[in-house]
Amino acid sequence: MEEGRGRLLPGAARVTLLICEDGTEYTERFQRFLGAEFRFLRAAHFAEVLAQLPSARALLLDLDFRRTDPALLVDASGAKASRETAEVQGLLILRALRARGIQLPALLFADLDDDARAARLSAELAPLQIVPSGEGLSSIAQRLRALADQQRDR
Amino acid sequence: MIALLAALLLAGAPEPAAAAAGSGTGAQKDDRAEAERAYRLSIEQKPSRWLAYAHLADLLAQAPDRWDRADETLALLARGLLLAPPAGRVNLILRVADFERAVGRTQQARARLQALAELKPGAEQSRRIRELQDRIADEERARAQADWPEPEVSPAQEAELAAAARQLAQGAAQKALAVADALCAQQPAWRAARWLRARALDALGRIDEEAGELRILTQLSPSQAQAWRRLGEILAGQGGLLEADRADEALRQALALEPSSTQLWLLRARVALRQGRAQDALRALDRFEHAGGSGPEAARLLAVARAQAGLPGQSVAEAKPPSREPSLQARTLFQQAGAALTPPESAKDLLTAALADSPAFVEAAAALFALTGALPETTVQALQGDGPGLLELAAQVRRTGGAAATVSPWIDRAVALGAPEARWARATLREVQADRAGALDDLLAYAASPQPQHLEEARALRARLEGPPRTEVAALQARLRLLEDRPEAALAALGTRCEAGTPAALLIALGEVHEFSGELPQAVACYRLAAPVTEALQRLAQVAERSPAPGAEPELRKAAGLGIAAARWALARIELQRGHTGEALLQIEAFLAAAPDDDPGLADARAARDQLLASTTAAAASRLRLGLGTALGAGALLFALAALLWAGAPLESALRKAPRLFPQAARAVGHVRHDVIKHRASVLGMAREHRTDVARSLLSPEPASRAVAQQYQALRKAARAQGVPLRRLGREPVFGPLVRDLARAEALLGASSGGEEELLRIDQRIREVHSARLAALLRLSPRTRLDAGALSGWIRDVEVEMRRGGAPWKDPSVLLQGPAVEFPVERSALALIFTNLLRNAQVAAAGGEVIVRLGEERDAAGRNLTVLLVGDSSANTVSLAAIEQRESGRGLALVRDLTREWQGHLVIRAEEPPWKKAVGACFPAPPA
Repeated sequence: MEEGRGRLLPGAARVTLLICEDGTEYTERFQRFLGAEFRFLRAAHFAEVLAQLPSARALLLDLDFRRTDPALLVDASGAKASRETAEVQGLLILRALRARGIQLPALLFADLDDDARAARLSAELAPLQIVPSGEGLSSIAQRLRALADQQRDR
Repeated sequence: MIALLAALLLAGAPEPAAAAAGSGTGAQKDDRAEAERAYRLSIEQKPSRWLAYAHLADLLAQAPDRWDRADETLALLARGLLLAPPAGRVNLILRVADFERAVGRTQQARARLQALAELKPGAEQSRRIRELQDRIADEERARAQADWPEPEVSPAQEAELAAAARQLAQGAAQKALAVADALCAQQPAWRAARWLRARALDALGRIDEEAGELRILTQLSPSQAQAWRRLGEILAGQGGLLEADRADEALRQALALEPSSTQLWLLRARVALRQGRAQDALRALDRFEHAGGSGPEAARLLAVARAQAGLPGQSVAEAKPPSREPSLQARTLFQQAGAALTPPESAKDLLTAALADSPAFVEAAAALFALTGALPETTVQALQGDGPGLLELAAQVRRTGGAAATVSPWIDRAVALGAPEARWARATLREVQADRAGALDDLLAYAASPQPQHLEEARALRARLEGPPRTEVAALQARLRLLEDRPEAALAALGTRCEAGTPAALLIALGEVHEFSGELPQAVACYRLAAPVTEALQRLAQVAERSPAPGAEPELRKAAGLGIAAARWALARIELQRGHTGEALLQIEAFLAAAPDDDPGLADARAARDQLLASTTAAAASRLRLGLGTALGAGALLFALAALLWAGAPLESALRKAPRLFPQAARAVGHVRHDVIKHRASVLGMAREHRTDVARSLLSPEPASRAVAQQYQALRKAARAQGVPLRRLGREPVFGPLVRDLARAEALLGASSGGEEELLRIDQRIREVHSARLAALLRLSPRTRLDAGALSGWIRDVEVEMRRGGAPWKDPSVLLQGPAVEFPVERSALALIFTNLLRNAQVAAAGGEVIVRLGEERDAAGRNLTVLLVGDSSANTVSLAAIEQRESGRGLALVRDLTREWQGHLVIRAEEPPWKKAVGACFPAPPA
């Protein structure tokens, strides 16, 4: 696990977001471009997500975890799962969290290419937003700001 | 003079010595006329001397004009037979029979040899008789490879066909098919019309019908390589295991006729692997390599062939036509009529009663005819609409001694009804009635029918009706030997070597055999000797484009002048070897502009051109600026660039043509979306605030445009290996614009400031246009609908294979969710997955219960999955980890690899009793 190096904006505490990914691409990119506004933590698998969750106000999940050690993969209940689940591990982690009653807002970065499926998942795993690969970082930043505002209001 | 000496020697020498002299002088010196005069002189001097006749027969059996002089020669030999002493008669009969063989009168030769048994030939003579009989049989078999004659076609029909061919070329396949249908109905044996019909069906994607059409075409014209080739491709690609034998046969025929179609060796290897004939697959791959072929597909097949153990072949079980069932009462009456104690009058009454009850009872009708010589009118009426019934009645009545005239109307009616074997029946009847022309018409129509059961007999009848053939049989025999995969025997059949003075047709045939064997230099030598002949030039060019032949440059230039495209690529390869890149480029462009789509040199030529252009474009431009380039050079370069822009297919079109390309395309698209668009280009919209970081994201570790280009080039290479060249990146409608936008963004970011507006526009295009185009490509995944019919066909394939191998078999229970399930997998890959799963389950069950389940389900990630499971009742367990450990190439390991390739995954699930477990594959449904 690692912590981002962002600076605090004057007069506002940075909201902490937990990125769950099998590499470091999201963390590095968000840190570089949005580190001034947000604080980013990174978790590489379900156990790390559980460990860091208390400090996070929102979850940012990658979908595909093919680089993760297969022994660390989980199914929708959070139990150990086969390597075939790696390609949808982000969703399974989220399901396992929801199954534990964790209702943290989440962004899932995934090209589902299927509006119906996206709508279904968003409803089943709410609060969840699904972000396709074509969405620019500016737009993602707006989503994060909206999320942060909601969390600050609570 | 030498021949005269031979004759003199012959006249005076004892017979064995004279035999040696005779066979070793005139014939060897190729002074046939002089030798013939000498033998005739010898006969005149002593008409009873059998040896002179024998040598004359030997000599004339080789004469080019032997057919014209056959009657006169046989009359002379008949006189020799009358005068020959008993000791020499057997030997002379052998020579006469051999002469008859040489002039195509094989039936007479065969009869003459059979009659020889009465003369009690010695052991050596018996051996020679057997040899000659074998030779005759072989020649008859070889002649069966000859094409059927073309029907007479009117100029109006020719014009209609030409117009339809133009329509097809312009993409109006449906219209072309309508015309071809009509022409085939008018002229069922017209090959050109059938070929057009096959091409139109191909264009419309009606592959099954196309295969049927091609079968008819190859029946009519066994020498049509294109038809064999396409039929082989269809059967190898679309047919199941039951079609594998036919696929291999078609591919062998195509290769024997066109050894330059080297890609067919790969298809033969695939078919052999499908049948479990690993050694044959290895041999085919070896041939491919010897023919100058290589590539990733060959390497993949080689790996599979090495890993695979052999399985026995199988054959098609013929379906029997439904029988015509009389009532139980009619059958009882028929049995009573046939009882030994029944007097003829009672039998007649019983049969009449049986027919009154069941008028279409053919056996009873034939029996009644045998007794009375007549049939009840009700029987003929009852069979009026039953072609096979009428044919059966005709056959039975003929067997009871019925006259041809009696059965003739019934057979005519069966022909009118389109009964499958009616034409054959009428041809045999017309032969009896001495209606030669009518019989030939029927035979031709019969050869053009879908599944003639007596094609071999029809060929023999045609040979009888047409009289002895007047052509050399050596080339046909050589083709037969190539079909048997025995090139050395083919060379022996041709009986000579490539040398000056050999007839061109023979040189070409020799070249083909060498080419088939992978002996390309020898093939080149043969074709060069036959070079003035266009066919030789064509074949020479095809060989030389695979194996550069600088020595053949003059002939290749001649071939190029005649418009033979392959010669251009062959010349280009020679120029490349010499380092003459400019000349090579010109030849390559000319080749690419003229080569047909299936030319095996296309991919390499395009690659060579790309390489040349990359290295020479700058230099060429510089030369042009300096005024050193000639107008011709400039024109050629412009031409090259124009051709360069438009060669190959867009990815979308390639995916439709070659569904097997989809997995690679999906991976490339996934990589671009994930690694480039999501993680690198998504920051473009922040260039105003974070210019340096955005520049670093796009340019480091390598420019994003280059990363996309690399993905596309890898995909292009994979497509080329599958015979579907992709368009150059710059002209590809999905990847090309994306790379241009990324490159432009990189250029803007390379400057220290400015261009923010344009960067925003590029960002917008990437999000709204390029991402959508990439996603659209993923919707082009192949979709294979599996219904009960398709599934039972695959199950039958496995059953036949397993029963042949003596393995236990249990008909599986089949549970299909809905009328059909659609899989996002190419058909042949899905078939391989299924057949391996089923085979594995049958082996595990060892005669126990097996179940096949097909359905759809949703997983925890919300994906709709199509699932294929095969369960068995074996208590033995299997795990995903164990399957993971297995070496690739067969069984569940092959299922594992193929499933992954098609973006699915293996599953193992528990089953309810009596089954224990199921192994299967799940595939995420493609985007709608």
